[in-house]
Amino acid sequence: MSEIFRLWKGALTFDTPTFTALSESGDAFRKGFMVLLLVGLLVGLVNGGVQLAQTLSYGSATGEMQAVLGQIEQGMQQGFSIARQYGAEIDPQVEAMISENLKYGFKIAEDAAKVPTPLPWPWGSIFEFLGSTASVPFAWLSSLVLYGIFVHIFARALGGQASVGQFFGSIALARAPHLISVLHFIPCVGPLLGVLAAIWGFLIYIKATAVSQRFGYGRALVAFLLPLIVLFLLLALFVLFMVIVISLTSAGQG
Amino acid sequence: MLGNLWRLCWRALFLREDAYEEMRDTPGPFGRGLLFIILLGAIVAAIGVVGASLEWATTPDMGQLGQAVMQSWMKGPWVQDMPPEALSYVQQTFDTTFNVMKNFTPNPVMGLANIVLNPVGLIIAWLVYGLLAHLFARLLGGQGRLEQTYGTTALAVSPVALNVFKVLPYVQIGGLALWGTVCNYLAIKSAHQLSPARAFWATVLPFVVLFLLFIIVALLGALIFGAFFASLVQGGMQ
Repeated sequence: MSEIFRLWKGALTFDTPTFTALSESGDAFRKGFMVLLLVGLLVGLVNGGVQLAQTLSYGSATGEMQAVLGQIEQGMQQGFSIARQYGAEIDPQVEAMISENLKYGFKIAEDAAKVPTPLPWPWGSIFEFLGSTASVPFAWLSSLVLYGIFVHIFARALGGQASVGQFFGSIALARAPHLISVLHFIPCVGPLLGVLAAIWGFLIYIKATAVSQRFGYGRALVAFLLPLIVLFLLLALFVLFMVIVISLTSAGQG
Repeated sequence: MLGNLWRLCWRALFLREDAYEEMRDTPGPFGRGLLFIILLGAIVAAIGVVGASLEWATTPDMGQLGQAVMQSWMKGPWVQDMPPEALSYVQQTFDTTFNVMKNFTPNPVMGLANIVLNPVGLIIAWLVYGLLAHLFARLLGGQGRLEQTYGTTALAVSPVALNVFKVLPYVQIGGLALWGTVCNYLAIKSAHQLSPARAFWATVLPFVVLFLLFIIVALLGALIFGAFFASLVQGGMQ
């Protein structure tokens, strides 16, 4: 556990010996994955716990459903109000029709929430909390591996020397700053901290790529950006192809 | 032997190349790989029964849910303006939808069936992928024997072990297929002692072939069904 904490701390402070030692340890991916797993579980536990506490405060399945539906209705009213502020003309009849249909839709949802389950409320919410907590690190892992595969390919093409395990273990540390996402539930401050964690994580990703691949930060940045650039170019080519096809088709019809 | 298999699984899971090399050099890698997949698939599925049962215990019965939704829907103002045929059609649609949903809701029986179905599915995927990967690896200059490819690619199934988290209900284990692909890369690289670039292509090309086969089969299926229905329609008209 102390080793995981040392890795987490070293990643946050961009400590080069920490990244070098991890890369050369021969067990880099397990160690990096453990950091990601623990940070993910803590974030899931706190944010899921806050949500669970709120759910339990509703007192019943019907109460929970009513609260959710109330939030949807409030959101819709706010949407209408913002649209009016920006000069949109909303027919009162249309608004009344939407509200009435919504009311009946809510009634259906409330009746559905009353259907009994073998275990009573709030066990479903408690189990969902457990499931969502354990799912957080794996959601992080899938994006990390998906993008990481392409970064690793480009890094190797640029002269990088990391093995797959060394590279993935190192970039897993990019999730270290996301521990501050445990404060995500705080209004306004939470999302801002999320942005801060993302920037911090990006810088750790570049550092991890440079150290594990044994090249400079410039090449690490290029390796990181190249998958995005290639994807953008492919999309642009596809759009161009579609425009040409549509133009030719319309010209042929004309 | 079993203890050694689990230690290999742990190291292979965390992308340790020495685990794949050990499997390559071990006697009878195919048999060991097969045993490993059967045990891993069955154990993970058995653990998953707990999660599936807890999900079932907190999910309403789809038949009852369908009835509740239908009854509530019938109280809406739209019902007055609807002809009886349309109402009957809606009723049928509701019934069909909730009957289909029944098949996707978790239940302990399906969880128990997975103790057999999960290893069978893993073995089929392993046999097909292993054979294609071996062919491409050999085409690209690989030196490994078929049983070595099967031995190492069996270890690449290791990320499935993380499904033990499915002991918890409603958990989503993302990224295992990608992780498995990275493991397959190491497996093929080790079995055939290929360069990283060649090992990459030997890993990816089987997926390309399988994707193309899927497209061809889907197109052929669409053509056959199309011709079948066309003949039915023509027969009906005559």
